Amino acid sequence: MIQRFSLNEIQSMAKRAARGSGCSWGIAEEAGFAARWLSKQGLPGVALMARTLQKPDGRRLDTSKPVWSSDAPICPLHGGAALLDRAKTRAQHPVTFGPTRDPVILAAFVGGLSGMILQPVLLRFSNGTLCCDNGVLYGALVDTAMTQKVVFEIAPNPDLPVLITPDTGQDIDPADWAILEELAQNTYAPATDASRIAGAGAGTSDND
Amino acid sequence: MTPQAPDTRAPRPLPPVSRRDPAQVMRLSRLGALHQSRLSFMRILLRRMASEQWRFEVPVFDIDASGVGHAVLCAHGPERSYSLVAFAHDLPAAQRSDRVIATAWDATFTLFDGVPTAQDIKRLSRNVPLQEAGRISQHELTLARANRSVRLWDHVVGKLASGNQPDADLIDSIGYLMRTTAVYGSGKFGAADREDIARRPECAAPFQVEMLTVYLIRDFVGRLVNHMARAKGGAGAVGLDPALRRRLGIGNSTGLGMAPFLINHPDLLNNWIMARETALARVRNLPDTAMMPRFERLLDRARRNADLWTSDHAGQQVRLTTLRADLTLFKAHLDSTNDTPRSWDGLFLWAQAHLEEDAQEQIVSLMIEPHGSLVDDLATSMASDTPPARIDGAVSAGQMRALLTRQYGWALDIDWHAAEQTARVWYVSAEKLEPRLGERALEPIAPYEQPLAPARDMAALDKCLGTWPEKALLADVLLAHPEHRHAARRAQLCDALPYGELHDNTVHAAMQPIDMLRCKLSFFGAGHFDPRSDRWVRINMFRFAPLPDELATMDPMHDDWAYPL
Repeated sequence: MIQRFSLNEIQSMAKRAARGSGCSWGIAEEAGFAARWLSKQGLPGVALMARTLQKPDGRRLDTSKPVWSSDAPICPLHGGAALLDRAKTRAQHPVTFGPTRDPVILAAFVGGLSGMILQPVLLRFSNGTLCCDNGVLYGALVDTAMTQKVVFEIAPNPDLPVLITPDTGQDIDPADWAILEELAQNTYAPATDASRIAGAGAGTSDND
Repeated sequence: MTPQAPDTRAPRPLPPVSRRDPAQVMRLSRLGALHQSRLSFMRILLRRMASEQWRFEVPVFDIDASGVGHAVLCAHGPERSYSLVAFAHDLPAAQRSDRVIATAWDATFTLFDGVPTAQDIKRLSRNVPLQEAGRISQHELTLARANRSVRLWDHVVGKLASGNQPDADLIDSIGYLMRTTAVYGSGKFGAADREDIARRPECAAPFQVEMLTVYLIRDFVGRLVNHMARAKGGAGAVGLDPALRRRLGIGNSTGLGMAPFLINHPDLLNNWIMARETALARVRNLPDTAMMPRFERLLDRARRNADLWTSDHAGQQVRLTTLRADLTLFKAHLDSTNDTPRSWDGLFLWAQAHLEEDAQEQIVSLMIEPHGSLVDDLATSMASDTPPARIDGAVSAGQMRALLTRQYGWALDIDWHAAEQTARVWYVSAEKLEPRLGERALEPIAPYEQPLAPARDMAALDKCLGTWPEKALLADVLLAHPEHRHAARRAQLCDALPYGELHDNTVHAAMQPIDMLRCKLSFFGAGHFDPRSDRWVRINMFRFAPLPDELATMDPMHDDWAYPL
């Protein structure tokens, strides 16, 4: 049964799941921001995150060549984070990613980049073109697990209509949530009797 | 500007005083000595409800003679209503536990956004009693539960049932009939997100719906105890005297779960401390001491409060003895300066030079107290609803190291190879996701460590940056070393937040989590901190506060209810 989750729950679960999938805490924070942002836009942030976090590759980027690449299709969280970090140094030139998975997740980073530099940013991949300008998304996106190329560019909206989303970003399929929960489990320490008492600091009577 | 002649009336011209140095304020020992003030969130809430003449009613009180049932308590503001939906249970004593891992409580609550329909209550009755195991919706703002103080509850019900008032000394020695063991807000378990309500004027200050929940719980508990006495004593029973009822707050047991908050929300921590420090600086700069007589009366009340404040915790007992002695010393100093010109700054500096931190911070709260018209505007600056903090990857490794030296020099100076500096690990247990603190050397928990040691992480980032050319871009460093990404983000964020960072090592062997708890709880407005260990504290909320039907006559400028008469 589809269940509604708050944005706060989505963000913290995505962050824990990303960490549980082996991401650094800093990238896990990006996963939390992105899942929240996508869900708020009405896009399936949790489903996308569940899909992408199950693949532990594409996380080491080579940004030294004109087309950024990795050992496998680029992880959108690591690619998106590298893009944001270069907001000032590379903003005036288009940035091109080679093969990339789950490119719809990059919409969150385009939103972040546009907000950072206060300019419209254009994202193009095989199944969609998107522009983020002043917090509003324009264009069309069709989900795809993989694209051969992604291009980011600072450019005004080329007459794209406002993006229509399914607006069900917080209505979560329990199967997707379960995937994130399972990854998040990797961040929790198994309880022992010692930690149950000492770790939480209880011990005196609760019942007075 | 035209130069002005010096004011010859002033005893000694003082340069304007600025806010205290973060290096002094942000130490855990001092933050663990804070007291509530008029900028505390429950004080802000009651001032607003008084000045806006909020109306309170209890449309449903459907609880049987055994104390089982539900009730709805509504608070009507100028634009919106909020309703506490309370479920009362009959809990066997063996199940009563204040731990977050408990599964049953004497009463469970949610704050509904508006006035609930019968349909809403039906839905909530299937979920709220389950707490973490249930789900609430975007129509609910908080989820909470409470347990009775068995000693006081049985005494009060028994006395009222037999037509007598309970023992005032026993009421004072315990201070509450029920204590909450969690008050969840901000989207937890499906509740509305903070951003759904952040634009409402009544939610502009932090934690207002959480504080309203507790305030209404207090009223519910007062009504429930009267109801139970009537059920037991019939026609001979009497209601609890409002004067006694006012002396009862809501207890709260707070464990480690709250401690990471201050580390995870540097923006909020900064805004809270900034408001308090700004208020203090404004008072210290006042050219007149018109409020001195009121300050002196408040000091007497604070001393009474310190006398009522008890604890079984050995460390806290020592601190309370010192606090009482220091306040007596301060009172003597104040009396001895009766005939000489005084200044707020002079009194503050005297306290700082002669008293311990606990009393110093009590005097800060007391100096702010009579100056509502000077400081109350700061309440609106205490929230933070900012977008995610982005990293500026265009700065060089050299610039980043300069930032770290400037902001975290104290952390870079620590010898991180010494075992006691990294003795602790913050982690989350698989069991009910309870946050815990463990010993790195004794338990296999390091792989599960949460990023709650900014001081250590900044030192690691600095060390890594040192291996790169000075001109290297931070973006390139983080591409190669994503493990430092969270620290880089935090350092850049905190560079603009002077009071955003604890200036202490949060994984040190001797670190006391209760210091973090007290800091946060004092901003809630809690008092009577009673540590039960180094990582668990009991407090009292809304003790001495006006009852809902008394709020309409409370003068918001004289809302000093937290200091007992």
